[in-house]
Amino acid sequence: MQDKAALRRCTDREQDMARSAVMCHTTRGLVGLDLLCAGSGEDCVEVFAVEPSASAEASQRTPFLAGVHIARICRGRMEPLMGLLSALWGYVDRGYLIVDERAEALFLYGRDIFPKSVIRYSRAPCGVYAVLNRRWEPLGWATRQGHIYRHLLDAGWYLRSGL
Amino acid sequence: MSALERLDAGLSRIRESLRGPSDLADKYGLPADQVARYVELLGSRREAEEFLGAREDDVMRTVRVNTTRIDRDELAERLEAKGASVRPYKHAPYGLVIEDSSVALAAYHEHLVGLFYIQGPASMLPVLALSPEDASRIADAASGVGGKATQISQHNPHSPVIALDVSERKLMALKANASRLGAFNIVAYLMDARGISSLGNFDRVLLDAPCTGEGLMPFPRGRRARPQDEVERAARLQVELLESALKSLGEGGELVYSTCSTNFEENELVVSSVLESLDGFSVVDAGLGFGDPGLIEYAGVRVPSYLRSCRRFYPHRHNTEGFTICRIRRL
Repeated sequence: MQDKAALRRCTDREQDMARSAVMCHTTRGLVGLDLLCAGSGEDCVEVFAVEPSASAEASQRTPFLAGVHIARICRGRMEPLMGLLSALWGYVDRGYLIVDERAEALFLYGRDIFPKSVIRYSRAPCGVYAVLNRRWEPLGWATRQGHIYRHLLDAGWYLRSGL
Repeated sequence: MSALERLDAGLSRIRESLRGPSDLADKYGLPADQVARYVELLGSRREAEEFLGAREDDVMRTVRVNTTRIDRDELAERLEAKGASVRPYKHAPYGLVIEDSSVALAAYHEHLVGLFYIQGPASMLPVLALSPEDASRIADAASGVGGKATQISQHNPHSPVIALDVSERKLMALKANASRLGAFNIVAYLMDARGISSLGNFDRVLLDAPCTGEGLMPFPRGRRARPQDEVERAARLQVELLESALKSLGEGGELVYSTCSTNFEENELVVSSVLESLDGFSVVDAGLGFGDPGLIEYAGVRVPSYLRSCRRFYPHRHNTEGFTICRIRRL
């Protein structure tokens, strides 16, 4: 399992990829958080956002987990996870969709979003949208496909996963 | 005398003196020694029956508001707008009591996006007793799925919180909880807390120890037979865990020992067995202003009077899960 791989400082390339993914959704960057990585480029690399004090702690030993798992880099592509939305809470200012209540409920059960449910929109420079409700609370990730926004990941997975 | 030897001496005395009404054991379908524990603990057959009669509805249904994202009043308003009936939980500044709700708590969008964590009314108290706000290094020595580790993170989001557990499955759930609630300062290790000293010293340690779960008797998932030998096995493990955890405390550091059990054997007897075999520790007031004092006498066993500073919670008296909390300071 990836979580068992030793956490290490991310390489410059991994840092750049993660920072670029963040900048697709906020002009502010990941304020006050370090990035740690686990795994090698041959498989997938897991990216974690960690408080600096905890990051120092994690670098001394091999923990199971440090901070919040924000993304996965597989075959050179960055996949944002729900943890990235936690890291961006309150700071999303681009690359987003704000959806109405009905779409919010459906999206949290894995459904796609139709344009008529989108209340506000900011173009996603990287093609992936942070889906937010009217209160700007992150619900998950979507990508545009034709005229609809295809569901990628949502906060409801937690309930459905049975964890 | 070692802590384990002290514990065993106490357990053996208790085993000899425990006698209880067998008709009550038959009535509730539980082992005679289990029912005898409740009669001894609560002082009367009548109150033991009240304890045994407590059900899920007698325990307050509570949530911990993630105040890093929303304040308690605002979440209360939002839940009420969705048909829930809520009130503040007066023993925790971020607690809400859910009197009634239109859907399962876990299904509220507010839960999914990390605005609250479902946590029992007594389960919220150990971290309040720990008061980790100013600590620079904190351990949650038996973190499970991270309910209390994320609560510590809410109190102190910048210092490292070292979470240990022996279950990979539970640490995976901790990972999901940390992500949902935005706890960026937790470092988790898949390890037995008896090895905690290899991780250095801490200012604060929470040991919410694995236990019989006898305080969960009101819930269908917790209502089962627990013979005396199960209680004794749990107590032996707890002594080993507490001894190791105390040794990892730095000077002036504090540890909160808690269990979701009301058994004397798993609480005051464990704490006294360890503290009487180690120098330089004292039990201090838990600072909760709630709960009954710890016991100093039970089934012919007497423990030092400082154990009165521990706090006990019972479903039929306090409308919480059964719980016991002791706060210990390294001098």
